[in-house]
Amino acid sequence: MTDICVPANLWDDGRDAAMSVWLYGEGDQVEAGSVIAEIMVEKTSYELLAPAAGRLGILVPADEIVAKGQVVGRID
Amino acid sequence: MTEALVKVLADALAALAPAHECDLRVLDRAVGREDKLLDALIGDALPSGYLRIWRQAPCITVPHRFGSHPEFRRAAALSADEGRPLALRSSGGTAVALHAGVLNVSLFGLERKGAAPLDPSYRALIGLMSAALATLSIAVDAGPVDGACCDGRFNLRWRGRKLAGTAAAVRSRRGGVGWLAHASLVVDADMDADIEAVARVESLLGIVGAYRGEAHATVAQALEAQGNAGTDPAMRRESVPA
Repeated sequence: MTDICVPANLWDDGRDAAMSVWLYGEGDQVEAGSVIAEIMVEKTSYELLAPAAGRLGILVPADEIVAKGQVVGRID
Repeated sequence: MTEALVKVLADALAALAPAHECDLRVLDRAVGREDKLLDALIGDALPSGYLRIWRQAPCITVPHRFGSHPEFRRAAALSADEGRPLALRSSGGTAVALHAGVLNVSLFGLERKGAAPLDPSYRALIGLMSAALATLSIAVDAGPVDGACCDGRFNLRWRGRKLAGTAAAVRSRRGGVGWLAHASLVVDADMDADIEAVARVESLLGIVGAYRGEAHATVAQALEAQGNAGTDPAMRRESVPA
């Protein structure tokens, strides 16, 4: 099992971010390196990449606030 | 007048950026080229600081997250029936009306180490656009506008009204962090119709925006109110309808 973390250096200051959209659904098969979600800081969208291949587990749904380093999902 | 204004502004912007492309054709899928250029940037096929000046055929462009809404298909069908198909984009924000009267400007940058410098990237874009508008003697600043569609900290404002909106997308790959900051400058438009179309799409997708027409302005309105046409002979006062 691999955690999906919000990278600690994804954006350059301490502003709040939100999980904008998951581009795959719960249990979907994803490839390592594929874009699986987007995180929004104000009007800037950041891609979140799959750290490994496997089945996606979503821990933080869309529209929830997220922080740098937070685990937002898992890949089994 | 719209075409002449678009040309003057595009020429001014192009003169400010050594690496740029300028395609003023009104194309159906111009929004989609943003992603291709961002990929090219990360793949070292595009220089950092590249500027794209472009236009898009009538559409409502929305961020990817709108595409996951259960009512998206219905909203897309209804908007397309009204002549404004929905076009997904990678940047953030909410719905924005694009058409021949909107000049889009996109600035691409690459950071080899560290995070994308977001505020500086917006400021760089706004600096270019401010300089271009200055050629028409239109003075602008940046900031939020209460009651404007797709509001944000980095709107381009003329007399407190929104002239252009901005949004950004960041893409991290092994080679670095590529960023795109883009702006949609309303050169000439029926703002009430644009706002109504945006609000209609957003309401179908569960977003309730209290938008006000007077929160927005166009370059044509600004030019007319300024009472002069700047430095370009093509834009002199007598060529602007009352």
